[in-house]
Amino acid sequence: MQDRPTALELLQALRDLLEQEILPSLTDARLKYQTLIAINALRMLEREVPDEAGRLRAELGALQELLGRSRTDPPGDPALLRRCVLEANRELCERIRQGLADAGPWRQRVLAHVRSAVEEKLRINNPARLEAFLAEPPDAE
Amino acid sequence: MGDRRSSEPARVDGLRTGLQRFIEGRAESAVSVVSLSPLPGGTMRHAWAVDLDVPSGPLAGSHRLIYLQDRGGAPLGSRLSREDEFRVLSVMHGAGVRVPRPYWRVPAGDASGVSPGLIVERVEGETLARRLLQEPAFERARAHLLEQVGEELARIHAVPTDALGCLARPALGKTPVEGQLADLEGMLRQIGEPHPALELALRWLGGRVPPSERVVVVHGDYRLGNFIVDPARGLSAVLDWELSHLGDPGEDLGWVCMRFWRCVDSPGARGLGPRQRFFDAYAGAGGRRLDPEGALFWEVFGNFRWAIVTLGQAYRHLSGAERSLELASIGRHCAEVEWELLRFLRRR
Repeated sequence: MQDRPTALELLQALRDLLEQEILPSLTDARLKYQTLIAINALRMLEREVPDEAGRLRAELGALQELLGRSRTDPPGDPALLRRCVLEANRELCERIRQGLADAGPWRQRVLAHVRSAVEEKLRINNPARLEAFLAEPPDAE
Repeated sequence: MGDRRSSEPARVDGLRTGLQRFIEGRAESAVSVVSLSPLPGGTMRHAWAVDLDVPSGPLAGSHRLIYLQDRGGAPLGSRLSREDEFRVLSVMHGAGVRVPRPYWRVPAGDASGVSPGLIVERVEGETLARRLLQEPAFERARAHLLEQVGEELARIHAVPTDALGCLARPALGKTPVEGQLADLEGMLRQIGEPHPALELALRWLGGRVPPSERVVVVHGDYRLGNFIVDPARGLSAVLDWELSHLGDPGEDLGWVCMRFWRCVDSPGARGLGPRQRFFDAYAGAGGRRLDPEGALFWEVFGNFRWAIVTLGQAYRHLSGAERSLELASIGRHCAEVEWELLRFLRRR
């Protein structure tokens, strides 16, 4: 186990530095813009770092179910876990390309799964946008 | 750090001398670069504001210019070369389309030492969507802007394509969009990351390709952000022609409607007005109307293309072609485009 500060605490300190000291001192418009992008990237990481493994395990479980595979214990090694999720997503892509999700009940399951996977990505990348999306009335058409 | 601070003014001085030499060769006169300053923004290029005084010759007078420096790295396979973009601008300017007047292109390896790029008129006005949509200064312009961009697009689509042999042309026996879908799919495969939402969109699009009625000059990135707007006159210029190509007019129509540009109203946010007003203005100025099926296809196509662009920008960083936090961050925008695509896909 690593000593404190934790990864999250370090990221927060880094963002504080950029926001409170670096950004106000900048006069170059381009550098200001780049720094705002950096601050936004740090915010993303602050949401992404806590329990990343938990989210990957949940996605792997959902993918195994969707692909009709037997649920196996997810690997403990984070890099291996990532590779497993990537591989399962590749398999899903391959089946979609083959037309297996063009119609029928499996299409509905695929749409529901992909929607929740995209929702999870948005929760990290842009939660304000996700809130706005979710608040929209369902399509009339 | 000391080095960095001192190298910046030296770089500006070097560019000033180079531009002066380049322009003197073309203006048949001594010229003086009165001011030179970098402009922010733009992932594709570095831009510089250049103010020029020409005491004599055919260009005598003051000129407010912009020098767009090529930064390399294409977001899509079909991006134009500088030479071709200059040609498109010249043809559009000649046809009366509102574009910045093109002055010169700086070829690669020019004796002036200036790096390749374009020198065009600097049109004053606002481009940022947020300001155009919200600031009271643009209230007057806002009232007619959607009609103006609809009419201008009809004007662009009416420009004869014969002078533009340089533009990518759809393959024989294929509709333009079939070739584009194949290109975009190729990019997705090259990037190599699995995106189930984009695979679903690709299946959806592949099964609904509309017949192609005619081939026109497609701007390729027609949206708020690429319009220069004057508070009094409204639309002053259409920018960024580097993605223009020959294709179906529906492509620009669908692109305008994408929620991310905030041109037209979307379920979550007000734009310049309802999309019908845009379509009416376009049709009123001689453009064709899309049927609802066609409008849906082109909006889904636009979102799919935009999703691939976001991945492509990140890939430029990841592949080492151009390391940049800004490009890398754009990759994280793909998820919101995927959300939008799923919204359409679940509809039918």
